[in-house]
Amino acid sequence: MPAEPADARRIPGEAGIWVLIGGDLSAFSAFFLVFAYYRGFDPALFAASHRQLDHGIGLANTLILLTSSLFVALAVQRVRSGREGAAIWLRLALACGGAFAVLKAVEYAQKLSAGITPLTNDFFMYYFAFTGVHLLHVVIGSGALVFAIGASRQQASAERTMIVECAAIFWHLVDLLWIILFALFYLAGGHG
Amino acid sequence: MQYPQISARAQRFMLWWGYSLMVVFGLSYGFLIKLIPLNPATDTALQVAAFYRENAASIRIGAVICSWVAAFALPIYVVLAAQCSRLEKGVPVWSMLQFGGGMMMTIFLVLPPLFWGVAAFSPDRAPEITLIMHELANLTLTTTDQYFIFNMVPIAYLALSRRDHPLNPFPRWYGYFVIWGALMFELGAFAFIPRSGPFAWNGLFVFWFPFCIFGVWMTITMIVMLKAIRQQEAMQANGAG
Repeated sequence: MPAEPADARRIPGEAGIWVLIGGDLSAFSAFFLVFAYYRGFDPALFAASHRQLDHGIGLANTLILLTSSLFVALAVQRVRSGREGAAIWLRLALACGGAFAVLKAVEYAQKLSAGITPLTNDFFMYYFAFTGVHLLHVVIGSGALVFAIGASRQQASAERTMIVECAAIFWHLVDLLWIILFALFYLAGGHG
Repeated sequence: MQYPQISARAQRFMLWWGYSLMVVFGLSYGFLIKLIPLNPATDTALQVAAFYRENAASIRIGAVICSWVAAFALPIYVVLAAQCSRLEKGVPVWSMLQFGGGMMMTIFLVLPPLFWGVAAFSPDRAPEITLIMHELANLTLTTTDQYFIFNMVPIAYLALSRRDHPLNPFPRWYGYFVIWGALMFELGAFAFIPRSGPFAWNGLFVFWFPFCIFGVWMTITMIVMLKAIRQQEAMQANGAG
């Protein structure tokens, strides 16, 4: 029997992690549908609240996460080709995660000091809830990156590739979910 | 290497003991206490008092049954802890954390039926007093996320980090599923904020997500554990375990 090329139909990372990715994507899809549904009841309030968000911080955080995804992809490329040097790209991605969290904390602090809380209205309840759950994902993703940094220093092996790929997949999910949240809260203002 | 033996029969017994009590709990909660889903948080004190007055007998019977069965998860966590502890070297700190988290989690399924029973105990008291007991019960059920992570993170960690251990009872996907479940359970605490919508105590993210995921998680855990115990028995018979 002819041997199949090693990478022919390989699932990136491992099959199990797609349970987590699929579950998370379903949950966030529900978030987005719920947000769109409730916006329909009070578009003026949602539009007015949308204008109170700090779009500069939102955009900066989007660029930070997109850059971090690039770093993670470069790390995966290194590991897949059996080369050294993945750890530096993963560290840079981790630093981006930290910067994202700091900016998010600044944004929350600004809102709270302006008297805007999850109790203010529905828009801000969803804003704090969804971005809060996303921030939890950033924390978990950062933990995964730390784990991957440790693994990337080991000798090249299938397991090393798998660990770095799994962390990368989760990090890309964190990035993807943020881009949709960014579009939903910061860009799609609606008409009020 | 020689690992501590665990009685397969005792583990099976505990799993089925816990799971059958969970089914009784679910039936009592749904059909006697009648709060699946919880009543809207927008109900007035008079509406809440009327609910307890009209259903006083069945809620109190439901509370009696839940007094017997509501700690159902305890034996399941014991089996999980026993299985986890064999994956660790020396003092099994992750298993101990998992066990402690699980023990504490059982309290928060014991308390709500107790509080509902108290609310139904004196149907003629002032409605506002019944209301506060009702709110305490519902928020205890939905917002108590304090201990889940201490139970679930150790399980996920051991499931995923002991990939080559011959006695690892957890498939890889189970480890990832537990991480997802832990994330979703965290949503419950938002019930303190709104009175209506998906984050209210009867809403999609606060009631239905955790309720369904908990049931699915317990069922999957049963299946995974029973399968692992069967395999370990076979290993033991071959003199390998």
